[in-house]
Amino acid sequence: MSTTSAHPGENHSSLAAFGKALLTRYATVLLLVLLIIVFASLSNQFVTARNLQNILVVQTVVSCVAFGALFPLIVGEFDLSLGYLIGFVVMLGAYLGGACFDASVVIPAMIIAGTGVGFLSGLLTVTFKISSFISTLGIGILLSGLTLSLSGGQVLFNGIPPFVLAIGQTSFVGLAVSVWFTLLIAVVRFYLLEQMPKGRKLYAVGGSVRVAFLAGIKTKRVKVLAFTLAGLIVSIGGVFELGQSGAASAGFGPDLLLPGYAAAFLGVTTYKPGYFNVPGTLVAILLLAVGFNGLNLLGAPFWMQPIFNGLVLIIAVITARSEARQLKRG
Amino acid sequence: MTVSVARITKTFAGLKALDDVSVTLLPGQTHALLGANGSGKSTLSKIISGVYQPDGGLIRIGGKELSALSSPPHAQATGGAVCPPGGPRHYTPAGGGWRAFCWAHACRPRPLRQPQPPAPARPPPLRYKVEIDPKRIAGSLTANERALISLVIALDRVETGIELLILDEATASLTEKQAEAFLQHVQDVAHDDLAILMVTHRLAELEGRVETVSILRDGRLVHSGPKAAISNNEIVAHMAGPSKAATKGSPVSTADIDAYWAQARSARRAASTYPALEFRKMSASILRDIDLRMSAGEIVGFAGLADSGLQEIPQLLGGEIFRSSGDILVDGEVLPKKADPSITIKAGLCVLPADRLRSGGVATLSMGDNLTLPSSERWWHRGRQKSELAARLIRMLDVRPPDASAIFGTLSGGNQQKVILGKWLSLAPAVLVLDDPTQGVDPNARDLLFAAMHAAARNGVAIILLSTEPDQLAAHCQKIFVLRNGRICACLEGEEVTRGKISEWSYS
Repeated sequence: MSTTSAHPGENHSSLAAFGKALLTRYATVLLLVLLIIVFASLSNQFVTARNLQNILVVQTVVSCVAFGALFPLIVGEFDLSLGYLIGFVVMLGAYLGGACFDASVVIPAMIIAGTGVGFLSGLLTVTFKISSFISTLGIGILLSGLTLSLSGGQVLFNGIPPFVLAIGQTSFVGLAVSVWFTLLIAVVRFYLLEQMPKGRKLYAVGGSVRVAFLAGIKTKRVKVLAFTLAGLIVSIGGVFELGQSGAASAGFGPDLLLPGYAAAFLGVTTYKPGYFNVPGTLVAILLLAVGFNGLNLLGAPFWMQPIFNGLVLIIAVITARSEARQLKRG
Repeated sequence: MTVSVARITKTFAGLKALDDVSVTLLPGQTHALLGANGSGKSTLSKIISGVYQPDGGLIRIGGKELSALSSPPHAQATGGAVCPPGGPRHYTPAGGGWRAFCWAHACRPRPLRQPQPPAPARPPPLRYKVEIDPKRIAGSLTANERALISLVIALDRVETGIELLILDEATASLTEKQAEAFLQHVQDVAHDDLAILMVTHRLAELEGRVETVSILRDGRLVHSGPKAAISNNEIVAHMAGPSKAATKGSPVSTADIDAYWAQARSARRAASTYPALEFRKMSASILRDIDLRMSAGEIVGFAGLADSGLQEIPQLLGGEIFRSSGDILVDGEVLPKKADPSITIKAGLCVLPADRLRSGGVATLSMGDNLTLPSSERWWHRGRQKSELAARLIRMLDVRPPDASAIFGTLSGGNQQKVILGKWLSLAPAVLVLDDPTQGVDPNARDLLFAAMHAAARNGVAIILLSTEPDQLAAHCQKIFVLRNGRICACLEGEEVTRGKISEWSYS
């Protein structure tokens, strides 16, 4: 059975409909506001410029991983290498810095390396028709080896170019430079995905590769592009990380993969339920960050954070699922 | 077994799909459920098979009274083992077809009639003369093959003693001859306790098979009675409803279509002296040495049996398979040998596929995005032009709801087909291939699709029509090529374009 007319029940209960839309489409926003109110009333340290600044800065790197992961997710693929990739890019930057190269070499090298690896993952997946789970897992493990070899078993912190440190550590109009950059990435991405034909193509390929192919879209190219862009954005995140921490250790990276994906999946529940989207991901990142920060300030034990993150993800995805089910039944 | 539903209502998202519907299926009889797309036929058959649960009303199965069947297994366990063979939409590519065959056996219901019939000597597909390699992966089956397999499953289960069979647009993807054979098989295996519910758009199939007819319109039962007492014209009138019949003299208004072309005229390709499509000693897959010319604005039909090479025509022109020798010229230009869809579309070849859900539209995207999918390159960003084009196409083809943000997957079959047609018409192609465009589409939407096709032809688009219904070819085509063993065995023109001639050449 299918819908033949627009929503007839809309007029007589528009308020209820609005409430329902708020709950189903913007439940994460509500939860975010609620958390902010709760933490602000319970802790006088929460609403301070320093703390809010801190919340945002910590999230720039995770945001880049999440925004990167969105591209393959939209075309129906998965990039498991992104965590290893950011670790590799950071280590490469620190290594080149230690070899006395300045920022004009270090930053382009990091970004070209990251983008190149993304391109390679895409090419492997598409040309050899390997499941992206496997191809990117392989690439990721390979990268972790390269990261180790560059590190020589040490934490590298000598000779990080000052310009890189400045990106990570200076502020501009009250917010850290890296936060501005992250917002810029979010805006560009939003425009790309929602307003440009290329972005719509990504969603079409994710919806049905076959239909997109028969409509003349070069689906392989679109998929490789998605992996390449993921590599690009993640390597920008790598520059932020190197600037913020001023050092590179071989163990950094893999731990960011799951939070990044958690944010991307959580984002599916917001703005455009059922679709991977940028605004939803942004809200999800803030939600997880505020939760972590607030629980910390309230003196919650160290193991509370993963429990909080896991619960939020599961509950949010359950609500989004029911929304998607309604959509499918139509 | 007697199965009846009484005063069933079912609401989806505020819209009444079924409103106070009562139907009784009697053992030993076949009951036809008819109605336009979106009238509630499928919803009712899904309620009887346990896929959907009604919001109100009663279901009586055998002696039992239930408010709902909670799931398909529940429907089977109540003794009314229902097997909805289903149109293609019941099957996801990976789960359907052959695999479903094994699945059907794994949970075959306890035989209701004792003693159990002796084990079949040959596997069911062979008994019903379906020649599809059982080792094939379900996802690689065509819509036609999937439909055949699901019918075999249904027939096999009738033989093992189920007492209710629902044929929900089961023959939509079959050729008339295949459908005929299978409906004959159904009659052969039917027993005195078997009640059959048949949902179909092909009124011709009802002849001599159906005792009772029920007609739904907008979720309400508008007619129920013996088949003998109602003519096909009356059935169509009931399906369309009195208001439409009164307001519109002709079946569809073509004003919107003409308005579209008047606006799109600037976007049309310039008149050319070359044939719109030309094959020169062209071979591809099983097609051999095909020579043909089509001029702009011509409507040409292709006919043939399943293995005649007929299915390769849309695949070839849609860029799914490549030719092995010879030449294809579009508007006088030679098509590159390895022409994938991006190349064929640029050359001016568009194909409306038979398999609407797998190949036609992206179910999760909006109508607007689907309509503008192949033309999206024209815009730097999603601007007014794009939404205007979508709105024009929706108005031309009378898509319901007329809302570009509606999700494609939630539209009814006829409306989905209109969106896919609109998508290709927006490109003003040199050649438009329509592969069984009316499959699972109600009579009103059919008329509109054909009106849009003729309008396109009048405006210089060459049309290739493939259909499982020879009557359609005879009614709409100026010329018909009949394929046999990969070669053109006849070219019917003028007086020869009749149903009889087509069948004669196809089957002989």
